[in-house]
Amino acid sequence: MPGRTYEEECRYIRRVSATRYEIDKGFVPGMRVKGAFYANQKLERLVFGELEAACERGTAGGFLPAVRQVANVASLPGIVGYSLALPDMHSGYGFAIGNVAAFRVDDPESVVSPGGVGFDINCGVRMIRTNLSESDMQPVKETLAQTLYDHLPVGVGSRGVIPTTQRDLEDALAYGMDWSLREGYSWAEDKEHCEEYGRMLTADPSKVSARAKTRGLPQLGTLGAGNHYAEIQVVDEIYDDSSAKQMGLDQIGQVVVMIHSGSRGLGHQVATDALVEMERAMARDKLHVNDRQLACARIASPEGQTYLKAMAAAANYAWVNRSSMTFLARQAFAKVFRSTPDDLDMHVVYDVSHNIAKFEQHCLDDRPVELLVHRKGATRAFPPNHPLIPVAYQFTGQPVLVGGTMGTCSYVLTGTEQGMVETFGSTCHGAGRARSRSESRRKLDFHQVLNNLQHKGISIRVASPKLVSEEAPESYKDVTEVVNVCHDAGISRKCVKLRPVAVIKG
Amino acid sequence: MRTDVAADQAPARRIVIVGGGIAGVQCAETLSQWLHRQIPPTKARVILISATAVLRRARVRQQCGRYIRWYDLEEESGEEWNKLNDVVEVLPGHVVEVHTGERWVRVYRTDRADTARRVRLSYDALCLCTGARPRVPPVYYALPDACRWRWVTIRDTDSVERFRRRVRMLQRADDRHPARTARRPRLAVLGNGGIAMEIAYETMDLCDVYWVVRDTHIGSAFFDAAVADILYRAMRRRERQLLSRPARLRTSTAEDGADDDNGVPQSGAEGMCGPALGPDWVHFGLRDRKSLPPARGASRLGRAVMGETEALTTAREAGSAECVSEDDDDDDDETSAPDGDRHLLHVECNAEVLVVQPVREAESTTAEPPPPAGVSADTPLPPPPPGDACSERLRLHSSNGHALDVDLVLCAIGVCPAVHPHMFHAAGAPGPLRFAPLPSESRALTRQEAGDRGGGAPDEPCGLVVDRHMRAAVPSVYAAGDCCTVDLSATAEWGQDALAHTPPDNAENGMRDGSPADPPLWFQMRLWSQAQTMGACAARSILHDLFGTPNGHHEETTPDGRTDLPAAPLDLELFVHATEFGGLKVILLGRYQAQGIADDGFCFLESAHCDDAQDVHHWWYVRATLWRGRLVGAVLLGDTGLEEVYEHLMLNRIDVSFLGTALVDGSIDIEDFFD
Repeated sequence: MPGRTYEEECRYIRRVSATRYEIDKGFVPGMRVKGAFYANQKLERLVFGELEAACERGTAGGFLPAVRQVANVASLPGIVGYSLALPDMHSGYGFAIGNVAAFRVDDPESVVSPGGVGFDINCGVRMIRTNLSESDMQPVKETLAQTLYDHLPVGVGSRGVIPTTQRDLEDALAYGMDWSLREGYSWAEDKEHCEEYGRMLTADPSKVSARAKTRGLPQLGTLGAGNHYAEIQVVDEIYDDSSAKQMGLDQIGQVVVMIHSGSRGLGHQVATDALVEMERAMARDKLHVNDRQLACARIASPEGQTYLKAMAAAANYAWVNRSSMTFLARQAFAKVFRSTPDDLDMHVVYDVSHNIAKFEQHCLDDRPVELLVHRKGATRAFPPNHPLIPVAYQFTGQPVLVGGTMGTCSYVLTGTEQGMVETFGSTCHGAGRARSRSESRRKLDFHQVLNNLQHKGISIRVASPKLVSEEAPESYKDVTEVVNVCHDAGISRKCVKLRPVAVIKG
Repeated sequence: MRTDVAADQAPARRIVIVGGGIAGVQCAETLSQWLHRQIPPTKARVILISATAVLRRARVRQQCGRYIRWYDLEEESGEEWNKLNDVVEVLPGHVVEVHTGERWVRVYRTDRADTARRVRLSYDALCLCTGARPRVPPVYYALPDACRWRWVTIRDTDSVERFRRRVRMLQRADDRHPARTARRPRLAVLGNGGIAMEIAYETMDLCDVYWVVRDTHIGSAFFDAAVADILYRAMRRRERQLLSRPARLRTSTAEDGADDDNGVPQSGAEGMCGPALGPDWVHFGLRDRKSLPPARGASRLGRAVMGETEALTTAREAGSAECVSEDDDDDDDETSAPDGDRHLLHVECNAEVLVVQPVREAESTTAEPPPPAGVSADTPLPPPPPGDACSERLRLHSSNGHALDVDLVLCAIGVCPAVHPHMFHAAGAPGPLRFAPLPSESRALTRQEAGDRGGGAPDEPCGLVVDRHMRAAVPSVYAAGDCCTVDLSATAEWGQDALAHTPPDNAENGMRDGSPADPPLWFQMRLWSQAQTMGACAARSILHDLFGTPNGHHEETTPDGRTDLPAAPLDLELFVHATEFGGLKVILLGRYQAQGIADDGFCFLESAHCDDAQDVHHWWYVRATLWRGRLVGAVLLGDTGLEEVYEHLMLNRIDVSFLGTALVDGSIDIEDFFD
């Protein structure tokens, strides 16, 4: 808040347990519920560091620190429980990344907000196991990586597995993994090991704009760049033998494939379209928010419904993407090992989304209530005996796939009953790439270069790198720390740790 | 152009493509893919008329974002093509006349003789992909024939191969001539585009390079002075690295035996060597920049020129080897070369070559001769020395009064579209075709300014004008690649509305707060990548016009509705050029120099980082162009990792002003922020 010092701000944030902090009402105007986040002492430094840097910037603007974003979300109408954040929380657009917020569907005031889902709708992770061990793979490791790289579509899709016709795209948006199944790209049992069975039934391709479709069409079935990747990993450590066994991951050194990708440009455009439309409608519906980026609409309003249907279509698109990459990964392995994907036991362990909004039943005050749960940079983690998770995992709880930053280790967790109670069945999604490039570096002197610029009347500002937090030696969120905090908080349980042996980037 | 007869009785449509370069081949491939997929097969034939024996295809090696691709060029002979492809027929020949009213072309076939040579081909659709020819300055024509081999015009891989052979010829001649082993060959590079830049950089260890540009700074075809300066430093850094190990400057001749003289260049000889974004298995997935070999594959041109020379390999692998006498403050690097005044690269700006004459070896000295008095373009050449038709060197006289003796001249000064109005006969056609030069934003910065200052538009060559769907002003005529000029504001009246669902830039998501429309983020440049995109776009337009219905679907649909036409992507939505120079990855997005945009509401945000002064691979530089708070262009040098998210932000057109300098300075992870 303008006018408050950093110390004053900190008084609103209290540590209530070793792993949980709460943000009191009043931290920002209009909070209807409290905020809460999970962190340990090490990670809290990053959170507070972000806040401190923001206080120093003052009203000079810039982006908001994550704690403030969490609090702003707590002011949205219809929110229940707490505005939550997981230990990998950091600044994002509107909502912080790692923010979970649930809204009562039976409250006519409740809203849906694209910022609470993210631009890369249904960015998620899928894990495919094999029955190979690291020693099987060692002699052919480079060939395997190369083959995988050749198979995964990194180019324009005209010659790829996925034909690029308009009709195919419409079907993919409408039917999700059912389309993949129909086309022969996925196995029937893959669907069961996927959230929503790989298809959100509320999808409506007609609510997706033409521009989003044209952005999405050539990217159907492609990996994407940046923080999207495919990794060949091996099981490094097993913490929970029985759950690991249920997932088929019971051998140290066992080889798996992890695919991390989302809906690419199509998701971006769906989110952008919704933000623009909702902003226009907010005055009509008397919606006031603390941050313009929290553009939202009443769930039942035309804008809200359009967004939810388009979001579902974009989610289907992302599942189709991951399914086609699964297909190609299976082909690649089969080719290198001269076997079949079946014989290599290349089943999908699970597929999770970490940027999505879902209608779910949760218990509030001991009564079941339907909620619209926004998870952005957070993963659903349903407990054992939950009806929506596959039969195979009824005793273990839902698997949660947590990818570290590309090249660092990854984890498989399971959902817990405590998580269901405390975080609406949610846990972390990964380390995120919240690091700032804070290694000390020398800056080349480019002032003389700027003098050469000929344009008149154009302001040029030279930006120098800033550190997020001066004290933290590592300025990225270590996935192991994050996962441990969730485990210690009881909202999810560690099951398996994996380490990468090859990385394929699109 | 719907037909009223049942589909299986409709006559076969003939689609004629003129030109076997990247645009033409892409057009043919796109057509062929769709025609192959048809159930039942649509009756259509595609004829590709190619003047050269080899067809060029640009393969996407890597896709970084929606549009950002790294390309490799491949070649294939026409005969091979015919064997593999039964929908497209390659016809070797030249088109000499086009009759747009009656819809036929006259072709001189190069595979036949006598009366069978001249052929008349009627068409249902004609796609011109004739490309562009290198510009040759008048001074070339004044050279005697015997010395013309020393003057190489580079435009494409065909010429690169010739250039390579000439350099080798020079080296062999030097090896045989006892008095000349001490002298390195001298190369003059004329021109300031991408090819000139690459050659100047890549040949520094083979030759002494004299780079003569008529603009105020190097690289002006792409870059303003600020960015050019950074790249220039990369060049100087390499020069110092090379000078620090003089024994290796001489090229090994081990490659000579592998010379292929039958005119078909070797393709893909480098093997799989992508930039660092490829499989990282040997480094266990860690993106440790220092240990990864510097990007090699994208500099195919440089590789093709030189082969794998020992000096180059060593220089690259050394990476961050220390430079002699490098101190921490490297601001004055240009003047403190370790080896006194020794330079491998000499740059002359604001200079144009006016006269070229052959000189004999005996007359030529290592010192530059005094400039002849009153030299100008009109000065007649002295007569060639008697007795020896093949002189040893060429002497260049430039407009700044300098004269230069060189062994070889590389001329890469630009291109002219290979279409001429006189080829076209419009009898019976609804109207004439239009020809126009590229718009001002497509021209080099210095030439834009020259135009603005009232010097008048320089003499720019004209291409065939087409709209954003590659349709020319006359029905059934299309064009793609370097031979055309795209006019985004035009719409060919005769085209199918089927493609109109791709809205013009602002109809669907301009800012609806009443502010004026955003500038289009695409503009035309004569680049391979654009040639490929346009070729595919022309093919889609042809398919829609010949086989489509107004709602974009095929007339005949099978029960499962499979036969629909390829949708038009947003390829002309965002300008992208991805290349490599001096070891630095270079990505240009959108209106990266604010070219062609009215000048209010602008801002540039710039940030530069250097993890290791010695090694250019640890540099990165970001300059974002913002207009009314929205990202409309960017220059990215080095491994910034920002290209995909910037692409998203530009296409999303959201307001990013709240980020301030964090957009560029790396203090937050932008990609993650917009995840």
